[in-house]
Amino acid sequence: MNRFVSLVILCLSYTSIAHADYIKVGSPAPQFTLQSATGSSVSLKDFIGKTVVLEWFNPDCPFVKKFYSQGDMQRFQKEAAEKGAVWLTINSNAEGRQGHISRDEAGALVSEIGLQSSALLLDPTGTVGTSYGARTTPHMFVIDSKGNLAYQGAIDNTPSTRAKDISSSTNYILAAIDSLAQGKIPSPADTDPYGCSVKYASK
Amino acid sequence: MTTTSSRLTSFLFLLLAAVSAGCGDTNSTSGPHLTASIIADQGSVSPGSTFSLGIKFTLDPEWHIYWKNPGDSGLPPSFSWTQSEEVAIESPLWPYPQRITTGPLVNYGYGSVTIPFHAKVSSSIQSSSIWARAHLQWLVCKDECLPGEGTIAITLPVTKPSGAPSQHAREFENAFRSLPTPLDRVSIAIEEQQDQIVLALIPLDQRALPSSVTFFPEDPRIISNSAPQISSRDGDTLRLSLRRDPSRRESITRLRGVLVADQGWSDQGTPKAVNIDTNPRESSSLSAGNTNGSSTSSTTESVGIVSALFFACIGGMLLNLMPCVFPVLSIKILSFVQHAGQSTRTTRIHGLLFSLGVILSFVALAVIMIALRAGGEQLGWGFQLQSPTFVVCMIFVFLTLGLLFLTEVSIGSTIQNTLGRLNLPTSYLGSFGSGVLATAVATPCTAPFMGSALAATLSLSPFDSVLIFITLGIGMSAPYVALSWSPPLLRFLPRPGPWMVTCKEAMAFPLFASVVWLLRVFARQMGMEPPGLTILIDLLWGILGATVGFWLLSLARRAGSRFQSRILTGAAIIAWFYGIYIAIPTSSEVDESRARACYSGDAVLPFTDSYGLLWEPYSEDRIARLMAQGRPIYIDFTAEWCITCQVNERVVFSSNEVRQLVAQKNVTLVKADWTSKNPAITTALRRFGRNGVPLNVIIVGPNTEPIMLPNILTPGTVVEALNKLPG
Repeated sequence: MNRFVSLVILCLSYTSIAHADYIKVGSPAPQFTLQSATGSSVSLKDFIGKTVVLEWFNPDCPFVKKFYSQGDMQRFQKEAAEKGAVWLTINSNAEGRQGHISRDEAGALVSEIGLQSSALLLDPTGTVGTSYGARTTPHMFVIDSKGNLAYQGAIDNTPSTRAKDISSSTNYILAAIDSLAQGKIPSPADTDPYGCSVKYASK
Repeated sequence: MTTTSSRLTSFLFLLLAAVSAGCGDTNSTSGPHLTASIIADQGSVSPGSTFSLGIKFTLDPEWHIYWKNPGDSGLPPSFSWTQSEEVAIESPLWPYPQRITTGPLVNYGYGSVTIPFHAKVSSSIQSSSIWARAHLQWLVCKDECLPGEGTIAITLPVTKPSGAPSQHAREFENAFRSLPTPLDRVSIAIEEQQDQIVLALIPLDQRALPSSVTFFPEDPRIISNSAPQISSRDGDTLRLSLRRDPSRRESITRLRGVLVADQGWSDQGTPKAVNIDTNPRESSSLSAGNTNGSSTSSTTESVGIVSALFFACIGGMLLNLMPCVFPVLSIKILSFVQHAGQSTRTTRIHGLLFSLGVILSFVALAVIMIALRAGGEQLGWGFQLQSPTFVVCMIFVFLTLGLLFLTEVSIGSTIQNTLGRLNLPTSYLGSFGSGVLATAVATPCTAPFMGSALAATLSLSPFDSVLIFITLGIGMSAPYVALSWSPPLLRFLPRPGPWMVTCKEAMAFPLFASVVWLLRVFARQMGMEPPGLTILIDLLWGILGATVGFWLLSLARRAGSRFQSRILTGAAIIAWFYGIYIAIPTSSEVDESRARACYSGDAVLPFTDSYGLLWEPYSEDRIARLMAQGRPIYIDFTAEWCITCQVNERVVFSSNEVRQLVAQKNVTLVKADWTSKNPAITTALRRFGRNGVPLNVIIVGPNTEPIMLPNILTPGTVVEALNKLPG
């Protein structure tokens, strides 16, 4: 009886709770269409044939501030663009929760921070974040020109909030872009992301 | 304010800041929502003593910091120590964490918590105080996260005997009580499935496990942190289902972490958290063979039943080769063929009825066994392979049955002879009755085999058991049916002869193989682990191989022709040497086994022997340290293979007088175990002018000659030597 009950609960629990899931590197990257800070509509399929970098973002998170405060993340975004990659910054924090970016303030935020990515995309329902399993800010994904996930995980190899650690760390994203440009698989292709949690809508 | 006075004020402020920053650190630091302070469990320390330092984090309500594995996000606090030269501080001891859920994500962490650190003061310390400074970095979060850092320091005086407990004793008590303890007397089995990991915890003694636990993994990306963990009880076994991290492709090589039971692990008040560290590949999945226990389906189980049925069928057929069955077979067939003497159809029906009689007898046996088992379960016996008692009984059952097959002992041959002469009427009922009787007649010498089958089915479900027995019956009666279908086949039956005895003996070896397998199961239940266990079991297989060789040799003696004799002798020699070959462990296996058992000379912990005496393992550092403390040392150089040493130990330490003197003179007992290669102990032996064991030495002090005891000890000799010590 005990076993039957637990089996039923097991089955039900998998269907009912939408916990954040993690995607496997190598599988096709989930498609999405989101509104950008400028109001235009941006889809992943617009960029097929190019390397795409997704960066999960929360302007108030100390780990994100680590990269933006001294202009490092902006520099990475510019370098990526020079290498022909498309960099999309995404905010999946829900309305009413810390770190949420509303439509009105998005435009001003871009110029205030000096964002150098191709677009700042707003995902207030958290659908895109959940489909990728984004759980920290920053959490990075690199998608190859065929639309498959080539890298997921941390931005570099030093989990900390100190900006001075950046210069001595290995940046996984720029390395991944370079590998893909040479037709090679990024190595590492999968690391443990670090950062603050993405503030999805609470239940 | 005028410009001058404001300049002056800022200068003064700067000065103050500079002074306070450089002028000795404080013992606490704070940031938003968090204060961290450094505490010690004693007011002072003494040379050679161990003590504990603690970093006490006090957080505002609803704010949290993280565990060593923070979970889906976050960062654990980091501790960077600098301290006096004579002080050694160990790694942080993490109390068990809580689950902190934010939407669909889960973190592991704490509210206010004290993280203890063990520390040690060197015995040769000269200064009158010690200091320790910790540079902390932390991340404290509620909804937003705020990083912080600070440096805190503590100074403690050094006094002769250790100081009294500090006023922080309570915090340390709580902290130590929240540390995970090792999980003992419980066997862990891990089943890795497609998207789940199932942990099965089996108690090895009488106590009850908690009804639900939570697992906190030490390594990231093994399990999904946010997925619910389902606990279920199955008799004594506690099962925990964990969802795997779907982004991780590879198989799991190591599962370690903390299991927390809110109600305490045994009863109220016992520690709530235990450590586990296992390798799924090496944990045998003890529950896989028990269809009652598994709450998740797995195709391997259905395959297991099919192959079991297959072997049951073959086994049933082989039963006919038993010396007491085979002659009966031909007689019985001939009898109903002759007596029938008519249509093929009737003969065939007779044959089928005969086989029905056989099968139903087998089923009756199965039903009896199931009834016994069910009744036994009501009484709480539990015929499960998970109970070590059961396994031991099974080992003896199989061993006895195997030996019965192998030796001349046979059961109830007179009964068999009498029954065999009975002739039943030739009606249909008669044939059915014959079938039942044939099984009964066969029982005396098939009993060993039947016993094994019965024992093997005890761990299966009732349905499966009955199925197995039916198949056995089908297998055994199959030749009868075949022969009744076409009696001319009788021509092809081999004549009874000595070969039947050889067959009977040969059936013993699968039974012995089962014994070895069961020994492995038993050993795992007792907590023995591979690779050491594997080497031991390989040795047993080797012994079995040698036994097979010896049996082949006995066959050679009985062989019909010179040629056969030679072949069998050759096979015997090969089997013998192959057995030895399997048994010898490679040097890498030896090293791995010893490393796993932490069997290096200086890493083992002190232990208490069966006489209640505390022994410390030998190491040069230990001896030096003990000599510096001025305590007398009794060193027992011994080895498992040295009989004299073992006798000495038994004779000397069972004596009350010796034990009392050891306590009275404050002697430290040190055991130098030379069972395996140990260069440190070899060197020590040479230093005392010896190159072997036994050797018993009493070190009185750094400036006195050590007392060398004779090779063969008596309590009197040791008492006399101990009386020479001061105190």
